[in-house]
This record gives sequence, C-alpha cells and structure tokens, in this order.
Amino acid sequence: MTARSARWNVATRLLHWLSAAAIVAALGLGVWMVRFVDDAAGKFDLYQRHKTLGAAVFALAVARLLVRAATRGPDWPEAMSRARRAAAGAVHGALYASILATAATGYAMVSTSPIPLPVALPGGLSVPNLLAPDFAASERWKFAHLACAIALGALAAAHAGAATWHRFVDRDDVLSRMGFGWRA
Amino acid sequence: MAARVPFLVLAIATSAALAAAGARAASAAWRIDPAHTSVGFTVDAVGFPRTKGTFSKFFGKISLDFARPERSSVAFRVSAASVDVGSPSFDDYLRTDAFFDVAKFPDIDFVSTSVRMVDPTHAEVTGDLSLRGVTRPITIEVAVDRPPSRDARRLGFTATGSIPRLAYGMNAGFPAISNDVVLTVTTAAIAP
Ligand code: HEM
Repeated sequence: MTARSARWNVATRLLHWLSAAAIVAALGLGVWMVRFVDDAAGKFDLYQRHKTLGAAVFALAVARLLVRAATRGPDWPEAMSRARRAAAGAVHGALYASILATAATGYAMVSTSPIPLPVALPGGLSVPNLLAPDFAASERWKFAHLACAIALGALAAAHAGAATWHRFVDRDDVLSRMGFGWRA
Repeated sequence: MAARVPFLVLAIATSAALAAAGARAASAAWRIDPAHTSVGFTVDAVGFPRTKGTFSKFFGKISLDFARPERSSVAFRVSAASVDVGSPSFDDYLRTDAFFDVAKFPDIDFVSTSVRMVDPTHAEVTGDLSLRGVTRPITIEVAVDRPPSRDARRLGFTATGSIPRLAYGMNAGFPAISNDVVLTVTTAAIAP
C-alpha cells in the first residue's frame, strides 16, 4: 500500500468532471447532429445547442488552466515510472491543446461561415463573429474541427483508459484523488 | 341616425346593382379557401438538409375570366412573420434582418400582371413579387386541377416558381444557402 497523497483541490475536481461531462456531451451531440439527424429544423436547434455547449467546454478549459497555474496538484504516485509520468504529462498537455483547438476551430468555422449565426450564450448574449465570411475557409475549418474532435476523442479515451488502469491494475489512488467520495 | 338611413338604402341599392352587373361581367372574383391553401417553400444548402417551410398567414384573391383567361388575375399577400419551418428558434432566425427582416418588411406580395394559357389546365402567370422592399417581375407556373368551366364551384390550383433571393437583397448565407428558393402554393378557390 502506497501512502495516500492529497486530493486535487476542489476547484480542479469540479472543473475536471464538469469538463468531462461537457466534452462527452459535445462529442456525442456533434456526431449525432451531423450524421444522424436529417431534418433541417431539428438540425438547426441541435447545432445551436452544440455551439453553446462548445463555448462552455472552452470556458471550463480556460478556468481549469487558470486554476492549474495558480495551484499545485498532488505528486505522481511513487511507483510510476519516469516513462509513464512523461506519457501522462504528454497526454494531459495534448488534451488541453485539443480541447482548445476543437473549440477554436468550431468558432472559426461558424465565424467565417457566410451564414451570420453567432454562438448563443445564456442571457441572450452571443459571441460576435469576428472573422470575415469566407465559404471556402469555413469549409476548411469544418474539416479541421472534425480532425481536432477526433483527436480529442482519442486522447480522452486514452486518458480514461489510463485512469482505469491505475484503479484496477496499479491499484493506486490516481483516480480517487480526482473524486469526491471513496479513496483508494 | 336619420342621416344614415338614406345612406344604408343607397348602399344596398348600389351593391344590388353591382351584383347584377357582376353576373354579366366577364371576370368574377373567386375566394381562396384558407383551409385548403398552403404557401410553401424549399431551400437547399451545402452540407445541410433541404429546409422546407410554409407561411401560415396569407390573403389572396383570384379573378377568373373563362372567356378570356388572359384577363384573369391573382393577388397574394403573405405575412412574412408567419414563416414556419418547424422550429421556433429557426423561425425567429428567419424573421431577423438576415432574411425576411419582418420588422421592416412585414408583407410579401405577389400581384399578377399577365396570364398566358399554355393548355387548358396550365397557365404562365407573370407578376410583381415584392420581398424585402424590392419589387421585381417573376413568372409562376400554374396548374389547375381540371379545365376551368363556368359551372365549377371549386377549382384547385398549384403554383410553382423559383425566387432568386439575391435579387431581393436577401444575401445572407450565400453560397452555403442556395440563391433559388422554390415556391409551391396549393390552393382551392371557391366560386363567387
Ligand atoms: C470543444 C468542444 C467541442 C467538441 C468536443 C466538438 C465536437 C464536434 C464533433 C464530434 C462534431 C461532428 C463532426 C462530424 O461528425 O463531422 C462537431 C461538429 C460541429 N461543431 Fe463542434 N465541438 C466542440 C466545440 C464547438 C464549438 C465551440 C463550435 C462553434 C462555435 C462548434 C461548432 C460545430 C459545428 C457548426 C459543427 C457541424 C459541422 C458540420 O456541419 O459538419 N463546435 N463538433
């Protein structure tokens, strides 16, 4: 039994699980609305929701990075090899990058679209479309958004797989210290 | 009150005279049956399904002249705010200044200027379409459900046309959203 490390601070834990839920929802909704919904009215509504959800994912990621910069998290478990620490660090960095890139390419696609339909925010606000309309550019951003979303999905799956490995193979507290209840 | 009585008498007398004249007149005003009328449109977009919509508020008049069909005429007014594509938020978006701009241009009007019979059940109706404050001629193909005759009590019409929206200053979304908006109006007219 290794010594228990401290949990992550509560802001990080909250942001982590809110982000996880929002990202899974944005990925699922994105695939669903693009590939499986084919009436225009239903698609319009889902696209609008997806854009708002994507903005929430972006805001959560920014908050998370700010908290991360201002606080210090628990150390790696003693038993983790240098190679695994490096791999974990790389995946975490790539996760942040792909979250920001997916949101940014989504915004760029919407903003360059010739259809003036900004991202709706709560309270009747919206994110202004700052890029000039350019249909060809918008189509390229659409492709980039899909590529980033696929990368994000793959990284998130690897990340969740690694957490499961820590829990059931390493039997350490890496998963539980991001949680609110039971501790390994 | 006293002053109104002669006026009422005059009004009745006048309308009776007009009705008598109307019976002999060549063209007669038919009524649109709103329950059997649909003003529909479809628009295509790139990477997005075809949008199908209707306008639920409209008003139309058809005047038919069986002897000289080219003297027939039609006028239709559609309330732009009554656009319905099946999603309230999408409808609201179409009402904004990007598309119909209903605050500035509440009505869409079509007033025929000429009617040409193609065959006994088909006509080409040319008229002025006013949309977003721009008035331009367009031609609409009209099919009648059976050859019009004097004893018909009801006639069904299907009118189809293509509206080049850019010509009316409705530029938003082009070329992601097509220029051509296909209009399909089906209506039943009731004899006077
Ligand atoms: C960061 C969180 C986000 C994730 C995980 C995400 C994920 C996805 C996914 C998986 C798709 C489906 C792609 C496909 O199947 O072709 C998609 C499509 C889309 N996303 Fe996002 N997205 C995010 C943020 C955003 C943002 C912030 C916006 C806009 C501001 C946005 C706008 C769109 C649009 C408009 C589409 C439809 C593209 C099309 O028409 O093919 N997304 N997104």
